[in-house]
Amino acid sequence: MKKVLLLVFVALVFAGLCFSEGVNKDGILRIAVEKDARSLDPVVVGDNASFQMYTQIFDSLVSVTKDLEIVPSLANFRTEDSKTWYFTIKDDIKFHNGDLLTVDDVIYTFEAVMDPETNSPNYENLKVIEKIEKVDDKTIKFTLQYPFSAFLERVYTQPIVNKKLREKDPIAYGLNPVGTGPFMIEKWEKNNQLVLARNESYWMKYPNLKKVIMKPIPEPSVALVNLESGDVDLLTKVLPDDFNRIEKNKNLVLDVKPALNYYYLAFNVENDPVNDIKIRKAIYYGVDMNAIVETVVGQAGVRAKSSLSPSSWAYNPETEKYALNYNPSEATKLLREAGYSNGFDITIYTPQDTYRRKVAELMQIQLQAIKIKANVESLEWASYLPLIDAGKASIYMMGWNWLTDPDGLIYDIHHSQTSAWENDASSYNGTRFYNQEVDEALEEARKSSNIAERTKLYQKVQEIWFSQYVHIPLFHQVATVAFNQRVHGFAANAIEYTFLCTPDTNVWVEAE
Amino acid sequence: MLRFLIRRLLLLILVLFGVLILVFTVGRMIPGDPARVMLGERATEDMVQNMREKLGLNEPLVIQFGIYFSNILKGDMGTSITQFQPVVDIIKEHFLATFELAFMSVLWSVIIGIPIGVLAAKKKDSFFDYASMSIALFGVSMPVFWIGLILIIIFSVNLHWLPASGREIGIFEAVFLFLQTWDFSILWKGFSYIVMPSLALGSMFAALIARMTRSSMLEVLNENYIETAFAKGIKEKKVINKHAKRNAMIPVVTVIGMQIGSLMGGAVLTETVFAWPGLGRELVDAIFSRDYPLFQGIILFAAMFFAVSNLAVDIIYGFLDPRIKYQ
Repeated sequence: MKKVLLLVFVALVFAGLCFSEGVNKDGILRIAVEKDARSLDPVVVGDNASFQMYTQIFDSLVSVTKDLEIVPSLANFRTEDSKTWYFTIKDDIKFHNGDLLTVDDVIYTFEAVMDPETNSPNYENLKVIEKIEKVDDKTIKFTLQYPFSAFLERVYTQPIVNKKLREKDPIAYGLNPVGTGPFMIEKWEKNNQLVLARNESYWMKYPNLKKVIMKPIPEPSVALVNLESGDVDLLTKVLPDDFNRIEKNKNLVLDVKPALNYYYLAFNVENDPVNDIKIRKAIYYGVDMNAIVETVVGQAGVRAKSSLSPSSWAYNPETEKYALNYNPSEATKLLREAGYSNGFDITIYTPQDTYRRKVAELMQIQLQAIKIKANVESLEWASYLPLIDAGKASIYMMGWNWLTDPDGLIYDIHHSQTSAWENDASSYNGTRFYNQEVDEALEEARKSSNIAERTKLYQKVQEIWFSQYVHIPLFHQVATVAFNQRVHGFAANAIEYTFLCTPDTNVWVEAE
Repeated sequence: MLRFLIRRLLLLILVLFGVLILVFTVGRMIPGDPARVMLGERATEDMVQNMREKLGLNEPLVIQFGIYFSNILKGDMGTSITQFQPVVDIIKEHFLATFELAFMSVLWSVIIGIPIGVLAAKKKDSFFDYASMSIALFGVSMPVFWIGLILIIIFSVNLHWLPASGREIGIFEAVFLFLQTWDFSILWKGFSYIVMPSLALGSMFAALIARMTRSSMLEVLNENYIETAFAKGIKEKKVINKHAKRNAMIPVVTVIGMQIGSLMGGAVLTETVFAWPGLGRELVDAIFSRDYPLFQGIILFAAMFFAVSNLAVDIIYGFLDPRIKYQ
């Protein structure tokens, strides 16, 4: 028996060796991205475009697997009560310039973000931190304002910078960053290409890719043409109209996965006439949401019936009864009851992305049948957000995505955050819908680490929210990536991140 | 000549001042808040206010303009709100790419447009005339965006001759390196990236120049002195090249001068289609994110470029037509 086992073991090792020999370690991966980073300093920028780029250069204290499990990265962590968190950094981790990673770098990073003078966009994510202390040369203690079960994912969104270099000149650091990550910057020509070279002495593993080139190509059709012509190897975003074209091309691979996002239409419940639930329901009855979602997103998404997608552990299937189907006569009846038998004029505000604008335009056409004259205004973000903050948009469309814990979505968009809208300030919840039970359930769920208890609380929130028709849920978009079949080890993931060399990925490209 | 130059330069300063006021006020009239854009969706009101304070956006407009203007006089165009870099550096980084594109487009349009125009005028009402002018009409009416995509599909996707987008090496740099090394592959590399965007951008302009040249040539060919030249027995080729073409070029040069400036602006679409890292894309991004210092800087710079190229055209007139004197 022992001999057989030994034989199997040898065979496996041999197979492993053969397999690893097939991995090309000299490949260059060229990725088309939609936008360029504004800066590569993770302290001052946090937008998605910048994040996808600088996470190749930097590491965070923790990392995320393909299945969205949070695992230790630069540090091991422990907590007993979700309020006090200890992180012990691993030995001998070096920055690209050879500097040893220290506790001071970690503390500096978080303190720089928390400093109001920095105006860091990640401040809001981390403001739950009350105190950061150095325990010893390896350990940092974070004390939070309250127990917060989703804290680790917030830690994940903050890569660790080199204190010495960033302190010296933060602007230069943003152009020429030095991190601990799998790739280091070789050249950055803004709006043209970011060239990253392998960090030969990466502490976690040896990255398979020799080089990564990220090219900002704003026009999706041109990005696709670049993929077809072989000028790029990977697209991180594909439009549904192009699915067929990619699937037919035998050189290309299309990968689609359900993603953690939520697109919705929101009512500002303080504004006339949508302050009346009958009007909100009438609008919902007056549009054929199944058909609209099918037309607009097609294979790229599914109709949403709650803010959380059915795959989430906190999803409440009971909310499906509040998802209304097209019924113009019911809509007319509700309008009559609300005293609007002759309809009314209203504006639907949308951001400038194709999906949401198309949804609004189709709604506009269907609403005519029930005498609601809807006007569609599509604005760029700089004008759009202040309008919602100020409570001027009675109907608007928004999208939200989250990482591993539902708190990142459900708290942000369902908590009333009343203090914000009292002075027309920004808040993620622009509906101005206030319900004490919702707020309390959300606060309680955040502090608990018991999944069963949290599920119950989140289901309660969804029940109250969707029975009041504050949102019309539109769709959950899928994550889509397309790549050349020479690319191995890459896949779409639910949070739409570009994982190239992480705890459980190490992408490689066949030689041309 | 010197007095003319001084007067024109003074006028130029006045124009630029006007542009500055216009850009500044129109920019602030667009609704939206750069602080909000920069801090993202997760920003709180305190942070937004803090940021506005830091950027000086809470001062009255007149004071903001005063500060901006005095900085401009000192040669300081400010720092980009979204990219944290000095505006001057960003312009420096991207200007060359846009200039190359504009330059190559003008080159194409002159190489293609002028000979076609001259030939069409010479062979008025012939098949060549009709065919070339129909194609020119087509060229004028086709959007750059469409031509760009068609070129990409033909030359990148189907033929695999040219890279679909981007800019590995600038054409000027490529020419410079080529002259040092005589390595044709470098020259080809520089050329391969710029040929499609510049053709797409230049096609409309080439068509315009062809049509301008034709009508201007026809006008000149009907002048008495041309008839005299023919009557004297001078060969047609010589009459056209020596007597007619030079005079016919005056309106054409005007158009070229105007276009170099407007090509800088027209490059916006081309730069988007071909992912060309020029100023046009920076400008659009800056406007969308309300990056006041950056878009003010780029527009001011483009205005300056436009004005200077017009001045150059006025000077070229004198060489083309000795009757034009500067006063």
